[in-house]
Amino acid sequence: MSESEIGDSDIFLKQEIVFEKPGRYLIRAQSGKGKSSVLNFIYGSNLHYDGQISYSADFELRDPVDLKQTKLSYAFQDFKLFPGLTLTENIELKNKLTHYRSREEIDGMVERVNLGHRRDSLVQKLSIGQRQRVAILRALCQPFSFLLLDEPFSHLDNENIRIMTSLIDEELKKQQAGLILTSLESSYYFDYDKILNL
Amino acid sequence: MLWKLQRKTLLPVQILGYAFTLFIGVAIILITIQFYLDLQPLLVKNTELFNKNTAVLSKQVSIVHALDGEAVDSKKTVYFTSNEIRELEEQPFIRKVALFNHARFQIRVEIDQQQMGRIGTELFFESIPDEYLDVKPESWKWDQKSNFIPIIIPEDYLQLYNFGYAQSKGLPVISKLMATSAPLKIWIEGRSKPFSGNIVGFSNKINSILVPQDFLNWANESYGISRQSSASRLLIEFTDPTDERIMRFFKARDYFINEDRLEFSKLVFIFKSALAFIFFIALTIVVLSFAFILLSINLMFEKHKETILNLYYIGYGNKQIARFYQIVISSFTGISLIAASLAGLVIRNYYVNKVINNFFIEVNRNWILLLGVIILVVLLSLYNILVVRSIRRINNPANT
Repeated sequence: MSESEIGDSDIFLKQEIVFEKPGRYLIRAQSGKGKSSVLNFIYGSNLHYDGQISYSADFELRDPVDLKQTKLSYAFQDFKLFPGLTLTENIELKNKLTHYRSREEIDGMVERVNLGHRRDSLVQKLSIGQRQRVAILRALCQPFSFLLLDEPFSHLDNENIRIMTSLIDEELKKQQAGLILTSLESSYYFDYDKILNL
Repeated sequence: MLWKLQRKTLLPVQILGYAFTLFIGVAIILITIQFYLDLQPLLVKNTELFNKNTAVLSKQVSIVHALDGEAVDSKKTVYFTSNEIRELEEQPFIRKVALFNHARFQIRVEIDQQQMGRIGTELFFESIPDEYLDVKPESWKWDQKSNFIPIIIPEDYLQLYNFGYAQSKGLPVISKLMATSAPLKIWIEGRSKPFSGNIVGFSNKINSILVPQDFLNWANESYGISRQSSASRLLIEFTDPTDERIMRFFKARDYFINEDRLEFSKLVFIFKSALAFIFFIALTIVVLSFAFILLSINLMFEKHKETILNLYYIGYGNKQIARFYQIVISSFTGISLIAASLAGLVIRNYYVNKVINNFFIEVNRNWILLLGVIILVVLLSLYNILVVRSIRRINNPANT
């Protein structure tokens, strides 16, 4: 990020920011301000930053794979789905790793977000909105302390946003997990403990 | 699921091409090594006299030598002086020099057989250290108490007699068996009683009539006329018979060496060089196939970088991502090596039946499978390390 962008940002001005579960945090900024970068820093997939990110002891950052499988779940802005696999296969690919959900649970979630009829379609044939929902469902297929959602509803209509938020809310409560969500300035979706401006 | 995803990243042609070239390369390597080991005893056996790379060295008997001056002088010129022997010993390409010991007394040998009457002839005896003999008959020993002397004659002598002398004189031909069973009486000048003796063997290499060295030393001591010990022929042991300095040196000194004697050694050298050449070609093929598959894999990783990165993002570890590729490469490598080993065994079986058995040499141990397994283990270890490393390089560029 360039100097000018750092300007009036909450994150970059403060000495220290603590995210605590089950707290819910909104990182708000316009496009291109580095919302994704902050999530990537936290997720450990981008190491190009100054300063320090430390995790509490139970995070065991020593194993970044374990971190991704059991502590942090991330719904990426660009989805990171595999277009050559079907909707279900994309979710299964993650679930195989964590064995977190049963086949029935997955089917139930897919049904709930109105994607039951596309279950066996290749992801490359899905619309962007459908892909966005698949990416979020996939992120829910693992245990986590924090759920990272990067502009999760940007391509969804209000009805679908309502369905997704209630699904996510249930899961957060069930797992007693925290949420870090990035969004453009005007969007909220959840009740937050803290709102950070970038 | 993961496999379904990763299978699409592979190009079967590359894998098959790799497997095939590896198969060819390893098969040739295994066969050349085994062939070399199998023929080793043959090479050693045929070079029995020359297995330590030995040759008989004498001085050229030229017309000048024969006619020049007195008989004594001309004779002297065919003997090696102690200086000359020392000079030979100092040459870097000569490991050892051994002398032909010869009898310094008159010998008369008679065939003692009723039907044939008494035929006899004046003879000479020589001896060489046993280690230079190409034949070692059982009865090739002498001790002072026994009255028996074993004799080895050149096989050529028998041939000469059978096909030359006997034919023209209308005499019966003599088989090896007959020759060895004929009892001989050996008279030595100065001894009232004859020794008994037998031809016990035929040499292809040493062109002389040989008796055990122990006997000749003792007899020279007891009956020798002259004290002077001189050698007209030497046994030379080379460090490397293919050394080109050998011929140059002998030519310069006007020494005579039967070049044929070195021919086989040259042949062996050429044979070994050819095998080594083939071996290195095959080794190159294997190395190239190894490099090729690594390159293909790395290019493929580059091409499907996004898939690999995405897998890593959603929580797959480097090893988990690498496993599919490791298994595929390992399987194809394994199949290649099994096929190469089988091909090696089949071809070996073929040449053992066709070639080796004709030479009546003992068949060497079969190393093909062991070697195959060793190559397999080495290749698999390398692949498994390198594939993970490549994946890691994609997912954690900062750490590498």
